[in-house]
Amino acid sequence: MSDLGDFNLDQFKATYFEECNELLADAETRLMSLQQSPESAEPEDLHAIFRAVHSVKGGGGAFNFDQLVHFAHIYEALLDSMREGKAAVTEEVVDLLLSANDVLNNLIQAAQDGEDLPEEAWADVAVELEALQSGAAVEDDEENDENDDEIVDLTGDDPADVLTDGGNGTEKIWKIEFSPEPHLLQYANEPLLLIRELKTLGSLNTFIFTDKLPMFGDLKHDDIYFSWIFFLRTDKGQQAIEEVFEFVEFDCTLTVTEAHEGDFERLVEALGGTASNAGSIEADEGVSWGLFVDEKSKDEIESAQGWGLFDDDEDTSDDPVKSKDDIETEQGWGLFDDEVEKEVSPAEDTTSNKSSTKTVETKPTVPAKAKLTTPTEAKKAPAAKPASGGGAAKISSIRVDLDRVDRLVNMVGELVITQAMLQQQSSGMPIEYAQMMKQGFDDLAMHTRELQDSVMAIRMQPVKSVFARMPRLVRELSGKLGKKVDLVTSGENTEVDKTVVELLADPLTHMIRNSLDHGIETEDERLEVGKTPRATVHLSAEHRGGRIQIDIADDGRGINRERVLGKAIEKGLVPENHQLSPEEVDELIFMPGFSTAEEVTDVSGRGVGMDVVRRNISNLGGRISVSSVPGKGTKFNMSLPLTLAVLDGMVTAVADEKYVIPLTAIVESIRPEKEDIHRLATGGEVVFVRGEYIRLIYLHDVFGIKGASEDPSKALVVLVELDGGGHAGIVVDDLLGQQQVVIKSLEDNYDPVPGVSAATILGNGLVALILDVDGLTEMTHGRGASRRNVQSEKDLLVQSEQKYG
Amino acid sequence: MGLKVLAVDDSKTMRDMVSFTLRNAGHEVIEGNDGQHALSVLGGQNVDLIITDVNMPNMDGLTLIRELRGMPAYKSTPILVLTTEADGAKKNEGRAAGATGWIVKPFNPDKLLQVVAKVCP
Repeated sequence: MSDLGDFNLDQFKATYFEECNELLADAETRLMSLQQSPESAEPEDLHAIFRAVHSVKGGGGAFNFDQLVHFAHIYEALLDSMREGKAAVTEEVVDLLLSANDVLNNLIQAAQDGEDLPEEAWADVAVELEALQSGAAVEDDEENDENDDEIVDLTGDDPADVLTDGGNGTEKIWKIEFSPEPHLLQYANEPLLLIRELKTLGSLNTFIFTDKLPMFGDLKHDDIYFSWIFFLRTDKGQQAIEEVFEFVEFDCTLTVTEAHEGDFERLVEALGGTASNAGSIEADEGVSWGLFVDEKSKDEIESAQGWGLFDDDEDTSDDPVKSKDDIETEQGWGLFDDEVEKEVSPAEDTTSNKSSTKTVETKPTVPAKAKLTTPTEAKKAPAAKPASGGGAAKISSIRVDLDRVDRLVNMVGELVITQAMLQQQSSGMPIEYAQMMKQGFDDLAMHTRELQDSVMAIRMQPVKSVFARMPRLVRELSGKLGKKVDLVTSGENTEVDKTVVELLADPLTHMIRNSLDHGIETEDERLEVGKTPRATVHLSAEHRGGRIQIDIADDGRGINRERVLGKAIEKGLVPENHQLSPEEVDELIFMPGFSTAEEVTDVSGRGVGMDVVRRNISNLGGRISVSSVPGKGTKFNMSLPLTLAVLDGMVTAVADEKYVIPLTAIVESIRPEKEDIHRLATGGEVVFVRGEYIRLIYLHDVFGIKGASEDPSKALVVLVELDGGGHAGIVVDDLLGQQQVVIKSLEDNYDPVPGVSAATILGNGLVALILDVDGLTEMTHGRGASRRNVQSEKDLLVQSEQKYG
Repeated sequence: MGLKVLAVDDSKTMRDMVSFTLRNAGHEVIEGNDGQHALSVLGGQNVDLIITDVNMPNMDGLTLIRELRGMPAYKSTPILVLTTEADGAKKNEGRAAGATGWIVKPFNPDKLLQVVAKVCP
């Protein structure tokens, strides 16, 4: 790679792997839809899957991922048969294709890690694919064999190198008869270039036959009228010579035969033409050429020379001659004809070429008049209708590095802060200036907000990418569990921040597993209670209230409350003989360490329960809840913020400190009456609001702030909703206003702080902490207090009321 | 003496590799994602060489070649087909559509430049 010193394949790998992931994900989606209705397969799906695998193979070959290419080739061959209708599309076949997709995925992963997979990881599927493929194309045996050869080609070093290595030392003279079809030029092939290339192989003697040249008036500018006989003395083989003509194989008659010393001279003599440099075959440089002219066309020599073919040729005779080594590398591109690749005698070769020429020949269809158009005119013409034929295809998307987008998001965040700061500072201005500035600030505020929304929108992605993995999961699990389950998804195009999309996969997977394992009955059980044998799981997403809502609903047996309660009591999570409402029982499944499965199956995971799901979702600023109707089914609802970059918050003041409470958590703010506040026996206080006792959290207590008002009836209580559906009351001095704040991670910039989810910078440049209300509750009431102790809190309250009465 | 080349492939990896190779050799490259997109980026401008993939969405390479050959501006522009299929039938399709020659993927950069030199004087 002499002149390409820095052609380093590694630089393309990242693109390739990214592309592979996209392609295979798309292929999988299409396979899933094929599986739903294999009998009515969309041809476009098959084509697209084929293209995906094909692209994976193409790129893989470039990086020498041999295993990957080998497997992709087998996979692709079956897909090709399928799209050509040679192999049937059945559920079993699609199952196999899905496995193949998995294997390919693993191979890509392995390639990315720079490893090879053990053969057993892919060989079985490969054998199955091949079996189907050969079954589909028994009559195409020969073609298959050829494909197999090709695999060797792609995976190993070019074996053909050996074949074409001309440096075998034995010099031979070859007679090459070359008669191009008149239309040769129309595919942009030039005899001149061919002759030049031929010259690089050895020393060349040339005859040109001009007898077919018409009178000048009948000349068509894009037709060829000449034919040639070359005598080439070279140590390269026949294949090297044929390679020169590979692109024109179907547009000419070509015979390459071995000749003998003196054949050239004898031909010159026999034809009675003039031969310059005759007999100087030995000459290494410079072209010897002969001109054969019959009586009639003698006058036309000039016009033949007027074409300048030979002049050109001679001008370039001192072109840098290609090294012999170059020739070897020319395998891998070549003949338009597979017949030549087989060992055939020159004579047979010619006939087969002739016959193929006839079948594929396309007659020039442009009328003679048009052909007289000069090349310059011809070139001008199309400029008049640019792209009109092509249609207005636009690039509908670009790929941008996530870092760049994040930087943009960050900068806009800073801008929002600056804007808020400016606005705040301007409020202290004399009234006459303030008036002038106000309009400007309002516009600025509006535009920054719009800018921020637009930038956030860049990061938004449809949840499709996560949803698309679920059908697969359902299919595999239902197979494993022996249940029949259909997954119905809706709202796949609902958009949410990329980070959120990525973090959705685990909770979703977990919940669907849960539904299938625990929620959905076996076929028999379903039939017994009069349900359809196939169960349905609905997975849906929608935007509601500035958040994304994701529902997972099944039509299974519902939560077995008796069993849940029994388990909870047995595990000591709930005190015995306490009445819980059905909803409260359902909520128990989110408690840490809770698992109703008698034994841990390999489906629902090991020991990781719904509590982890809840915690993960909570970490995203989301909430999860469950509702269940016995015998009818269970529905999980996840509610998540659309972005993790900004947050709508209520800025509150506690003495001189500012805290931001996420707006989504806030139910209302109240100033309670003194008599509604009750002290608990265990310490701590509750406030009585509309029939419910709510724990109070004194921020000044938690964060050790001096100078805050300690009497809730003189301060404000912000009621917030907790993860588990309970409430807490956060006591603050004042509410300063609602504001969109830019989230600055504490973990990244400092250390995690309990009770605080993140920080932000306010308009005045001061840092304010964003409260994690669930964390706060846990801190003040002990771990797991948010929901678990609801019942016991009530008990305590009852006790305390009796006490303080 | 740089050539102006249109490289068409739906795989960004391949486009990148073709473009990088050609640009390194001093050629100018414009890129198309598929046949349809290629026609629109081309917009009637003159190019010295077109290199296209076969299997592409929207408009495949063979259709693209036929379209181009039907337009006077590209009637005699050398067109190379990039193909992973090395068997005769596929190559013949390319040639029948009007391609000048073909290159088998994966190509090595030197090979690509050699073939380019072969069809572009």
